[in-house]
Amino acid sequence: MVATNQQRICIGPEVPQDSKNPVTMLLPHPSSGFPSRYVIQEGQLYEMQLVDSEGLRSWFIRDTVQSDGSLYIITPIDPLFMCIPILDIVRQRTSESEGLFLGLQDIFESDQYTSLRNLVELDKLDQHLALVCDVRESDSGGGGGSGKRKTFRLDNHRTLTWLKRKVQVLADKFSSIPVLVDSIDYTESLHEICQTEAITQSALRLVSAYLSESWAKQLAAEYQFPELEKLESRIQLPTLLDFGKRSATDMDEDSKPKEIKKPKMSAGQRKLAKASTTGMKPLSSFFAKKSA
Amino acid sequence: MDPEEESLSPEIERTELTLAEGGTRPPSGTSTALLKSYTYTTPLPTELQPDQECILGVDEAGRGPVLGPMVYGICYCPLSKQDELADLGFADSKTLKEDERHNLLNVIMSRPDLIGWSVRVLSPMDISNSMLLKQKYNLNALAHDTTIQLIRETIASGVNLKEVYVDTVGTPESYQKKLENLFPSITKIVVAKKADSKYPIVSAASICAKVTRDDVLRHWVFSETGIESTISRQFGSGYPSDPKTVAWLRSNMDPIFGYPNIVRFSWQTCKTLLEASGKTVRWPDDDESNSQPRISALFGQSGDSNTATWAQQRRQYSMFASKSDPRPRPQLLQDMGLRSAVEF
Repeated sequence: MVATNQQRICIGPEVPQDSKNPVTMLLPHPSSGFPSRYVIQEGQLYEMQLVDSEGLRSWFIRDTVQSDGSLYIITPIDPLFMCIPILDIVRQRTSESEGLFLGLQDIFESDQYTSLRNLVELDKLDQHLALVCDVRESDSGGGGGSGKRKTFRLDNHRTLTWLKRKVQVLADKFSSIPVLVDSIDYTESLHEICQTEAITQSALRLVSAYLSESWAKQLAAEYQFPELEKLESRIQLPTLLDFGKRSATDMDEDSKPKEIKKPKMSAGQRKLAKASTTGMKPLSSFFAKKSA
Repeated sequence: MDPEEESLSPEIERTELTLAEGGTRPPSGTSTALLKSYTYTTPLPTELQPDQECILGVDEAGRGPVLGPMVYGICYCPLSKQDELADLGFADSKTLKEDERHNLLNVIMSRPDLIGWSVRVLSPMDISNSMLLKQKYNLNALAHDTTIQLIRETIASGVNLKEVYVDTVGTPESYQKKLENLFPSITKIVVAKKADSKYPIVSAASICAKVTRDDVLRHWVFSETGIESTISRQFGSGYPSDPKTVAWLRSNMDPIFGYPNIVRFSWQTCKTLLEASGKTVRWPDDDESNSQPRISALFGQSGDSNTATWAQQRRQYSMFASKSDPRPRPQLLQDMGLRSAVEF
């Protein structure tokens, strides 16, 4: 029996009984600017990702089969990642001018992304924006507005500072997250300094996945990884044997260090190699005696 | 044929039932589905004196078949009474029919004063799983470990073993040495082929193992929901060389799920049948070791990656769309197979 297409398997935030059903919407992905799916729930912003089944996997749910085997994952995302590219564009900064101060309604207005205005509902939005923007408060002029009106203009320096903090926060938590630890090819012989650089570099790359190309470049410029570079170049030096094998054709070329490809281990092999056996029982206990 | 799959021709069991229904079942059988291996042990012989020297035999049943459990049996009695054991009917080595074996087990059970025995019933599932581990754990290793476990447990229960006789399929010498090293308290260990026809105590162990296996197979409970009443039990002898068994395997294979748990799916016979008629499975690990990253992983988004669509998307979402080509997602996210959702 095949389940209908209206059903999906998701991992996501708990929805309190009395609240509305979560609503999904298309918003510009901070990295590419193309539409991706997001959720706003109880004033929080969530991104939706999936583990793609590529048409090759299905779910068994009790006695039914759901043909779409993807797993959807709805996770919180710092709203500033969403806002930074938007703020960057709407301020209309040029070489002559720092750009415009704009209110929330103007910032989150787009005919291409009609859902953008939902972002105004986010909890404490103006406090978030203040971390990366210059803020002006003005008495709201005509139009019947009551009290003060805040306007925001993205500031590059504050944004970079914020981004570096983000990288640091992730780097600090790094060693407590197993999948992150496994993603770096540590060997025990790696110097502690290299490890620190490797962690920071990895955190930087992950944060940059949520940045546009230009912001990713600006952020990368704030970092140096001298120890890692040294390590890379040591691994790539040609050996004496390589010199012997050079063909006649490249005699005159600059001696480029050969790239030594590390044999890629499959995910399964990597997992096995890193697997901790603490707490695992020996095979012989597998055949335990049945209590009579 | 797999070295694991020797079909011992003289012992092809005829499971066409010659045993009348309603006969007593051995206590070493089971009435539930056999998924996990288990051990059955009798109490110590009632007339056994503390530290009385004993003789023990080891044999197995069901090593070659592709169906059902493999059973290791041990049987022991006081050294001074081994002739009494032989007189009970274990001296002869002739090939026994199923009901004759069953009767002999009854004979053993009629002497709880004299004889103790134990069997370890290895489920087809455990056998298959061991043989398919990445760290290979083959049938010989399983056989040795099970035997050692049974001997150890017998000693631990207070039996003073002095002589042990083991039937073996492989080379006797190295196995004998291994056992001698493990059990220095046993003064005489003999590992031999066809030991069941040479030593009555081994013949007795062989009866315990075979009758147990016969019973488990005859009364097999299928753990798979819904097939218990409909599935054929015409397995034939259970040996891969038996056409009746192969016919049963063919007609009881599910193209996705393979076989019920009665089948040792690590057997070459099964692998061949599954490869021929089962659905092909694509394993992500195999992909990874020899290929390009998936296109979707590069762009982190769904949808076509061809240039016409990109151009169109750029126009449609021109306000925020990046001018440059999409960057690949960090390797970690690619490895996790995660990408942004668009359709939902």
